[in-house]
Amino acid sequence: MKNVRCEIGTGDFMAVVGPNGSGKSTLIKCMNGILRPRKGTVYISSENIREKTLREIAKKMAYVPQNKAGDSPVSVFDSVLLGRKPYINWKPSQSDIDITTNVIARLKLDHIAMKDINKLSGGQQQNVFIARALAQQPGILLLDEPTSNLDLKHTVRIMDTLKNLCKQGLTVIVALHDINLAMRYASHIMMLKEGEIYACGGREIVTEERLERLYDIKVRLIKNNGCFHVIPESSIENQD
Amino acid sequence: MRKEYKRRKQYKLLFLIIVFAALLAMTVIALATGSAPVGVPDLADLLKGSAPEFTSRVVYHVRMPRIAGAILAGIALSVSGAVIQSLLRNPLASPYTLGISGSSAFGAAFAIIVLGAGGSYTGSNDVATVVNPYILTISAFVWSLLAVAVILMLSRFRGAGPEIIILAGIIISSLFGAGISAMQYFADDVQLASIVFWTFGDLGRANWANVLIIGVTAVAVLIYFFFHIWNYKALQSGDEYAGSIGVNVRYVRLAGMVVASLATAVVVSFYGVIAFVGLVVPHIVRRITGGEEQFLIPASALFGGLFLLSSDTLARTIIAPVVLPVGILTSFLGAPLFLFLLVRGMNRTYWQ
Repeated sequence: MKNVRCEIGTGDFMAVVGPNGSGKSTLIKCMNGILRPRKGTVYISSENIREKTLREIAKKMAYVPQNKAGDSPVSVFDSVLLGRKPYINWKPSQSDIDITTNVIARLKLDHIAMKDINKLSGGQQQNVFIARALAQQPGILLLDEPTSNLDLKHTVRIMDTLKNLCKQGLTVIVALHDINLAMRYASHIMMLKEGEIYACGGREIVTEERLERLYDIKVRLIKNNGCFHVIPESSIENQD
Repeated sequence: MRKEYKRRKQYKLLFLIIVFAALLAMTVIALATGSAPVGVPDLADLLKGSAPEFTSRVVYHVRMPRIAGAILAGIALSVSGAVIQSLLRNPLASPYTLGISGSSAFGAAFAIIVLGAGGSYTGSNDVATVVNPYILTISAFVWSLLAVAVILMLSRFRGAGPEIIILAGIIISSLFGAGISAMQYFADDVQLASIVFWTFGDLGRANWANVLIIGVTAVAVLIYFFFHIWNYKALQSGDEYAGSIGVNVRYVRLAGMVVASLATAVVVSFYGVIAFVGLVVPHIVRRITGGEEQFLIPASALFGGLFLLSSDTLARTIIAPVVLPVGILTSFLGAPLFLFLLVRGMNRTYWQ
């Protein structure tokens, strides 16, 4: 990746969009130090993350990975408690348990708290992973395609949850496939193309021309109920 | 929710207490069993201080070191197995199946033949004494690291599933097995008698000196693992996620593997290869208490001690007065279970 220069303010909802292989996931992983860029760095409130340990970063930034949990059985409660890891030395304290309980209640997961996460639906699992990230008490939440395996209802639920968190002051940065979803929810959009920023800014940067260049396909941008929709042009003629 | 969490914790604590009680009971049984005519009444006499010298010699110098050796070796091997399984996220991994035991055994044999660490043979009770136990242990440890290096390098490849890693372990085992055979071929009779010992594990060579070394190692290793329990838990959710919650994945994995192979090497260098304990015990514990490391590790330790002590007591009595090396017994018990795991793992449900 190169030429990725961008500032994100507190409480922003930033969607990172772009074609497959444009570097969305890579960028997200660079942000929290899992991947170390050869050059350049990331600053969190003017602190360079290169000078910080993974543990210090983990107290400021939480990450919801795209791949699912491992296959060993683990309860929702224990899974969320794992989010307290940056604060735990060798045993969780009472306050770690309290925070875990609160986060589970906040995301309304109480009724499944003792279930094995491998037995939950995709939407519930994603909620658990968000809860696990919140247990880190981060200022910034990074998500890598959180809706990729979800149906329409759960997609909207997850995005609503993220939007609410944003309103409570959390900065949310999410890699998304779906440009419509990005325009519906995000306050800021970053377009990535071949590892570089193609455009970055508010929703207004999304134009027909840019989308066509980005995805290399003809599109139409339609406004409906104050909301923009991207209609890609199909190579097959419409029936009617 | 919080009540439920506490209740589950108590249930698991209860399991620990039961296993501990069973371990104590088994210790008494083991103390009262053996070829010498010393039974429970004699033990009672010993406690009262009215036992003949013969009884106290049998108990203090023959049975007790063997029992302590069995418990400590069981702890070391089982905990290493549990941690290795967590570190590699591989349900088939254990010191034995990854070839760490085999390479340690080679290292021990290497110390005797090439480094001249041992070889004097005392025929009285079939014990091949070792002149310098430290060189033996260090050599076993250094050679075991070779197996660890190969396994860690292989597990960096994304495509390398659990089975591939175990295949590599089998290859490492047979390579070092061939190495041991080659050394046996060139060894003299005295050395040969010493080496044969490492190809099957036997607790008959337990004495207070090696029990002390294994004990110190086991305690140190347990303490190290206890402090890393949450790191091992984090690894279960994937390397990238573990990194995002502040775990230095490469360091934790490398250091954990080295510590686990140290524990294995110390046991192997004194008692030989005791197969499958490190594989079987964590699996049994997982079935009962679930896979969470904060219980898995202490429970594997206690249950491992119980398992090896029971196996050894059985091995001492099953065809008495002949004392069977415990390694032969654990192989007979462990091999079918390993096969069972493999078959069940075909539809990816190793852990359940």
